[in-house]
Amino acid sequence: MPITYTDSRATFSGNCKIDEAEGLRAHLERYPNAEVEMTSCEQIHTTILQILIAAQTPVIAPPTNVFLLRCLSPYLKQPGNSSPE
Amino acid sequence: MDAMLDQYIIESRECLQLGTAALLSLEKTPDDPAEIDRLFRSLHTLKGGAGLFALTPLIRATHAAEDVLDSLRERRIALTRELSDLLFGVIDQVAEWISSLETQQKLADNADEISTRLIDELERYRDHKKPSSASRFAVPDNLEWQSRLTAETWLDNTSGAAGALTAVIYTPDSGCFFSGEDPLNFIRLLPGLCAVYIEPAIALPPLAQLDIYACQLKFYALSRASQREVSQYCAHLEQQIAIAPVPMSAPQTATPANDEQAIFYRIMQAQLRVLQLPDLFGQHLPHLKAALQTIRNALGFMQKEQPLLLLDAVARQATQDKNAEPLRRFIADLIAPEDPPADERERKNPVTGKNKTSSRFMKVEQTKIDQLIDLIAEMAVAKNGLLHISQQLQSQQNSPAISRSIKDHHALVERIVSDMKNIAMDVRMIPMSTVFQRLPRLVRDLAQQLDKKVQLVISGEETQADKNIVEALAEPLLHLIRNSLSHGIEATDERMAAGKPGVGLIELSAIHQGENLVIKIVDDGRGIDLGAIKEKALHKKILPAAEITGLSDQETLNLIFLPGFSTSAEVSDLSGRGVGMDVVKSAVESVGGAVTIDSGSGSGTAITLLLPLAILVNQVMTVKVANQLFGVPLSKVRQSLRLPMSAISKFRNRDSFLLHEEIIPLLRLHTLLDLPEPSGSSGLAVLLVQTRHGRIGVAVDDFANPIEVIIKPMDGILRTLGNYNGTALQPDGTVLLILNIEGMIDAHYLHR
Repeated sequence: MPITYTDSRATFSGNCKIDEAEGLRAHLERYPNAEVEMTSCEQIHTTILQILIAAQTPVIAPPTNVFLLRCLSPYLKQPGNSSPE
Repeated sequence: MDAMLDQYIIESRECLQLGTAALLSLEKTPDDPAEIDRLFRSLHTLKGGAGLFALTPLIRATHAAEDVLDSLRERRIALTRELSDLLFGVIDQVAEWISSLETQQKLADNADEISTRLIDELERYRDHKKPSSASRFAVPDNLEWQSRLTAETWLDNTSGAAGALTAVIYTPDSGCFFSGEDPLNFIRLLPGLCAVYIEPAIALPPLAQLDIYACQLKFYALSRASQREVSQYCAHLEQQIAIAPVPMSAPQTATPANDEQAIFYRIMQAQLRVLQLPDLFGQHLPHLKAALQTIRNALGFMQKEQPLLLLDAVARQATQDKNAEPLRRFIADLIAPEDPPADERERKNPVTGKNKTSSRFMKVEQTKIDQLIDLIAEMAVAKNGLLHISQQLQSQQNSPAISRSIKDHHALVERIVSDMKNIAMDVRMIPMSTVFQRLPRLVRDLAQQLDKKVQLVISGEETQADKNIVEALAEPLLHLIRNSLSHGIEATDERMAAGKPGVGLIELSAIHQGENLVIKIVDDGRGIDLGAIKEKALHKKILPAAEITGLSDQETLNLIFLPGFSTSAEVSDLSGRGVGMDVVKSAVESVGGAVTIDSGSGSGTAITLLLPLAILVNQVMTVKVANQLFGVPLSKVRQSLRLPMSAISKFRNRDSFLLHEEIIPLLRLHTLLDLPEPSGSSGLAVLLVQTRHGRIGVAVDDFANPIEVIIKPMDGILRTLGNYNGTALQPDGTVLLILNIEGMIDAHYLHR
């Protein structure tokens, strides 16, 4: 599973495709204070990025993949911050 | 995924056929914009679908062809024979790729190389005065977005390095996920990517209301690759992408070429941000009003009259619905890259079919229909068992009431099955155009190759027949048309010398005649040289010299249906590869049809194919020979006769009888089947069979009832038994051998 859920935390790894989208959205809706861990994530589908931006979910561990990190950088926020930028 | 690929393959073949037809028409009327559009649309649809399966070589080649068609449409270049050949080359190559996709689920290994070669050739024709379509939509002059490309968005630490950059702004179609596109991944693979910034194209709604399958992001990127390389990579997304060269210092110091435009852009961007405030119709209503007034002023200043007129209506609606989304979209559209032309929008995604009017048709896999039809056919045969039981009850158990009741039910089932049969057969009926449409292209290419002038006139394309029959005709028709062109139609000077028009004529027609489909291929060529046929038969020792001399004209013509017979003096690569009319004959006969030929020296040739409209259940006549039952397809039997022995006489030393003043040769089925001769009969039961040797009488011991059966072809080694077409189950469950009566008669005449 590219995204695993442990309580409120979603841990991304490898390539997260479009079929993960519904599950991620459901998780983020269920846990408004959810956190995302992306260290070992290599690639995400556009819609996964869109969900993360829309939910303004805090990424507690940013991806090591440079492209992904750059894509997410304007939206990365530490837990507890209120603004995405 | 396989089902999607199957669907794409089916649709691609339709597109290729449409494209071929359009290009053929375009050759005749090179200025017809409707035909250019038709060709463009078919390539565009092919290209669109290819995006789903990442068929990059196909996408690139079709895109380059579209560019050429654009130049053609705008009359900046003209359609020459060479260009037309090249476009046909693209169509052929795509057809080859589709076939390879079907058999190997991928394009051939050299696809990239071939695609590049085609693109290079197409590039020679494209009008280079106009930029390629990939750069048709401009990056906003002010490059305001570049200010967002901070050090954080650069993929490496070269943001200050010198060198030219190419800017890309990508606003994907909101439905792009349904075409298999993943814009983020597309940007990831952008050649020379060095910086990326992504933002919502519109303010994203709360997660609960977010349509996660609609792409609402916008992508900004910088690349170190050349504009040409980036354009090629983005070619298939032309309507969603803007590409422009950027000097390296641009991100920090860009000054817009047009100040007013830049100011307008910035103002609108700022208002958009205001419109993204929460509770816009409550707490932030004053901000909304102020923003609207600013937008009005800006539009007025820029003399954008139409948006100005629309703005109030959109704002009113937004206030009424308490939904700012349409308003945000309206403003975003005003500062978005130039809209694609209306006709581009109309031919949007071919795969999701979003812009198509919903169709009342549905596509069904043919095997499903075949299975349904087979079951109905079996039911049609099985119902006959009821009649058999009813007869048994009446004769053996003396139960007339039950027998009558079964008979009544049989009648009811028969009516229902008959209706089902008609509807099911109708489902599988397709027009002849399915196979006819390949022929104009063949004639064009062959005529060019042979340096002959010929006109192909097709009629009756709409005539329908069972899909299996129509498809079985594809190869025979190709062969017959090739024959007409290479052997029938003469070179122009030869025609002129014979007092004929310089342009040869081949007429192809299809009509319904009763329960049959009749296809005629008539040419006005040199006709078939009977003397040459006889010489060849003699040379190939097909018949003894004495017999050849005695053959009638029709019998001589029929020799060309014998295996390996070819009338062409030279074996060309067009129609003489050791296959000939015998192949046509067996293909047509395999679907229950027959071929006849008529030709006069110098006055052309007419070939007629007589076919059933559909094959579901076969009517067979059952006959008795040496106490065994055999079936003969009723379609082969013209008449059944009972003749006294005295009616038989010898003509040219062969048994014959006279019917309507015609001498009919008589053969005996027991001799043909090598079975014992019946004894002590006072008369003969004779089937009158129509063959290409003329009408022949075949004597049997007795006739039994005609029945409906499903003929199953012989399997394995039994297939080599030329005397039989197949087997069928009788209503009482016993197996009936179905005779290949024509084949037996042919064999008899051949080995006589």
